This record gives sequence, structure tokens and C-alpha cells, in this order.
Amino acid sequence: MEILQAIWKPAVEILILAVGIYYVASFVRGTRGAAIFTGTLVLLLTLGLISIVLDLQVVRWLLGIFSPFFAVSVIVIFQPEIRRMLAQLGNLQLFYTTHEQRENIEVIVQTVERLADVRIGALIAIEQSIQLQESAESGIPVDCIATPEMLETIFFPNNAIHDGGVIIKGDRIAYAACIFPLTRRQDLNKTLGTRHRAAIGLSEETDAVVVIVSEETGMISYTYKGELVRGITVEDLRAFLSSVLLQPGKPRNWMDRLRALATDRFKPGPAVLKSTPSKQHGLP
Amino acid sequence: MDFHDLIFRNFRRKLFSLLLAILIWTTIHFADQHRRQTSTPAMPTNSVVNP
Repeated sequence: MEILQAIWKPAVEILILAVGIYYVASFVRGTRGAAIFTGTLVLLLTLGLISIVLDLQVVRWLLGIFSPFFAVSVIVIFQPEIRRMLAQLGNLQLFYTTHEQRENIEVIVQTVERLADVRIGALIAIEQSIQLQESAESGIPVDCIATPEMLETIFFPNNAIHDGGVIIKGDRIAYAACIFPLTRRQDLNKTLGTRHRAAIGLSEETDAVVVIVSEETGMISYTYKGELVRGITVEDLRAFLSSVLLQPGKPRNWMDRLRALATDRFKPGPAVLKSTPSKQHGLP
Repeated sequence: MDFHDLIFRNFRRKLFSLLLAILIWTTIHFADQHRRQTSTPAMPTNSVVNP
């Protein structure tokens, strides 16, 4: 019983630390600074432990001097990730209704299907909670209703704004010919072109969903949170976009949960009970 | 999410997080102990005030 009393506090502390580290590790996984950060942290901690156990005063003094630099370097290395994390914390999603997003998904899916058929390259970024202002500044303002015809016109070869990416905000095409930041990841397939690298780069720094159509193969791909999924069908794309942009029945954060609670409470019950679909679309 | 998922999904990442947490906790704990041992003990104060 005494052992239990002595152990429970450290155990709880270690558990809380482990959960925090797990979520941070999940968040920075796949980014360019993750390996550097983990390696440096493990090295610093091991050195710290050794210096304390063996009473190495010089090493301990050096560690004390360099720790603040390490803290600053973490902020510098993970600036995009920290920005994305903070933006997700404050993500409210008040502006776009589910109906608008569903229409958007259809517009994008139809565009991508047509462009893939005729092998016209495309790069479409769908803005979410983080504004894509940096990339938008490099592009040309369009500001028109998003339709498949308009998107096809933009990406049609040899026109003035076909090169670069399109940014979609809500139900509008906000900018065209935007230059997205290229990813610096080294572990990517060498055959990936600039279009795919730009898509990964943008999704690493923001929470935007980026859809790509390859000019060479007509292959459809998407990137989200720094991960690229290649060679998908239009049905896969529709299911993925629905799962990210609509998220039926899945509140994103505490604010959404509150809102869902409030709407559930005051919403009148259905007049006719519908049977739930037996199978849902899974992610590719 | 069931119990199996809770434990075994991304198991390597979870194990790594746990080991790193133990390392951090141990380092801070030993550093604290070391600091207490090496710091000068405070003078005992006399609670009885001599009038």
C-alpha cells in the first residue's frame, strides 16, 4: 500500500507527459524538423541525466546555457506547425455552411474528373481555417463563383493564368496562378513534380486540402496535413473531401461540440425515421 | 475506439512517447534532488518570539 502511495504521483505525471508528447509527436510527424527535434531532445535529456548522476558540473553548466537556445530553435523550426496547431485550436468554421461546402465538393470533383480525362494539370487549394494569404499574394485575384467550367478555363494550357495553383475560399475562386511553397522533404519519390511538391508544401504549413491532377498521367491526388495520397478515383476524392469539409456528426472542437449540443437540443425530431446506411465511404 | 485500438494503434509512437516521458521525468526529478542536496539548508527559524 505504501509503495502504491509512493508510485501513483510519478505515474500520473509520466502519463500526462507521455500523452502530451504523443500528441505533439503526432502533430509534427512527417515534417522536416521532426527528426532533428527528437534527436536533439533525446541527446539533451540523456546528457542532462548523465551529468546529474555522475555530477559532471561543466556539462551541466553547458546544458544550462544552451537550453534557452534550444527552446527558441524549436519555435523557429516548428513555426508553421505551431501556427497550424493554434489555428486549429481556435477553429470556428462559422462562415461556410454545409450546403455550400457540398456544392464545392461537387464542383471540384467534376472539374478534376474532366481535367484528368483530357490530362490537363491542375492544382486546387481549398482554404479552411488558416488563410492562404502568403500564397495568394503571388497570384492573381479572380473572385468569381466556383464552377467546373471556370476552373477548366483557368487550367486550360497556354492561357495566361494556367500555371500555378488556384485558391478556393468558400464557394468562390479567390485567386489563380498562385505559387505555393515547395516542400523540403527528402523522403519523397524523385518522380514527383513541382506541382505535387507545392501541394505537399502548402498542406504542411496550413490546414488546406490540395487536389492535384497530373499533367503527364492524368492521375488524381490530394494532400492534407503534409500527407500525399496518389492515384485515387473521383469517388475516393468525393469521400475524402466530404469527410474533411463536411464531417457529418463529428464535431471538430469544443466549440463545435457545444454548438452540436445546442442544435440537437432545440432541433425538432424527424418526421420520418430514415434507416442509416449500412456502409459508409472509407478513406483511401 | 476500443481498448485494443487505444493500446496498439500507433504502438511504436506511444511506446516512444512513454519512454521519452520517463526520461524527462527522471531527469527533472534527479535535477531537483541534486539541487536540494547541494543548496545551503535554510536556517531554522525559531517560532517562539522572544519578547
